[in-house]
Amino acid sequence: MARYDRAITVFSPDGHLFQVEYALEAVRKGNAAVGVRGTDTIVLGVEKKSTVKLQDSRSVRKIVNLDDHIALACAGLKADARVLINKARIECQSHRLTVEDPVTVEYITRYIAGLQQKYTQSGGVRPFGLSTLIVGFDPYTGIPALYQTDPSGTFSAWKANATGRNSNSMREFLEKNYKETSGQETIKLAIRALLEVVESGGKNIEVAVMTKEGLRQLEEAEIDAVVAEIEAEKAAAEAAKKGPAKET
Amino acid sequence: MSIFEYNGSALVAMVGKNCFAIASDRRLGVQLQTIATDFQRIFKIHDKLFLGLSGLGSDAQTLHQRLVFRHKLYQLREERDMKPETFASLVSAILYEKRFGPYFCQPVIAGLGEDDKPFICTMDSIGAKELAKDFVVAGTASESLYGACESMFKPDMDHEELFETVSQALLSSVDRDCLSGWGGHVYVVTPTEVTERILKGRMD
Repeated sequence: MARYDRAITVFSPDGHLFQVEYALEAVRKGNAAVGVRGTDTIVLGVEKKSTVKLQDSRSVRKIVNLDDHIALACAGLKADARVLINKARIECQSHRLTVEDPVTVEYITRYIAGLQQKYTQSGGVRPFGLSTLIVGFDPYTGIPALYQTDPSGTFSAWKANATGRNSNSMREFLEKNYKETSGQETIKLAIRALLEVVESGGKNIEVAVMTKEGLRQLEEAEIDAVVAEIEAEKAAAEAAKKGPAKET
Repeated sequence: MSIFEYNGSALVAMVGKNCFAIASDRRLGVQLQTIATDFQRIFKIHDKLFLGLSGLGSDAQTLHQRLVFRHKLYQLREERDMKPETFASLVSAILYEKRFGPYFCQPVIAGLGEDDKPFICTMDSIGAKELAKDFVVAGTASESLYGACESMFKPDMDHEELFETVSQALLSSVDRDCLSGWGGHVYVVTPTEVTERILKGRMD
């Protein structure tokens, strides 16, 4: 008799959960996503694979709202993302209904991570193939927060992080160049990190900015402007390096 | 004594020219005793949609919280506000879910729909919708309200005349009902602004 107690995620002899590790592989093949925490803004950026000509790109939203003050970006299986996001949105509202308070970023991250973990220890299901970057402001203290979860169900807070394709290069870049920023500087830092691994141009990047007022998706023109600024700065830095060398 | 008459309430919504008004009384009582004179019966769901709930105060508050929950989820998923007609269907469905143990409330829904066309409706406590083109009433003072609105209503009033008409209809009707009164709370909504006013009537 078919009963759903057949676990798919079981330990290997050397203590690995292969299904979880394979899920992480799926994440590594997903779109690059980066999150940077500033003092008054938190920026999420996601790589947009070059759009298929006939597709309406506005219908593919990679950065979504979980509540008025919380947003999420993810890398990995987008279909799994839909399910997880739906459950998280319901939990945000349910929390508001039962305790009459909005969720904190940590609470909803713990919930999502808990959900991801449940699917590594249940019968008949496979883990979610995605890692998420969750950003938001604490509704009481106004402190910005950036959290990351992964298919195993672990989560932690970050000042800046990246996931998906080439996340290691992006993280290295962020480790070298991170400093406390605010407003436009935070946006620039996030886009600079993304540009390390993505073709430059507003149509290959989707950027959203979370402030105390809420989430704002940047228009392509705005992103292009920042990209142009960054390239100009890079060119100026290159010229400055070559300049003094010539003079001597 | 009917459970619908436990707290006392009066609600009216009226349609004007590209605008609507929704008004309620402010009394919350426990049968004959008055407990509060600033009870909120009308709730904003979004800028162009208001919900009034008459009947048992506790059920009114609980129902409102559940509807906010559902509307927030709709907003997050659809990335837009709910149309008034859709919201009315949602309220009707939620009320009918409790067919054999209902919420003791009579909702009044008023909003601006497509092209800012005013929409009003009311329903009974198990979700039977009643659409109207002119006005809808609910609460313990509903019989007086029907009479007052029928005689004072004119089609296509502008928002100032509408405010006067709704206020007069409300105040005169609650004066005939011992369970509602202690002033009035009127919202007049046009496509560009929402005006909230408190009325001072017979404070009893």
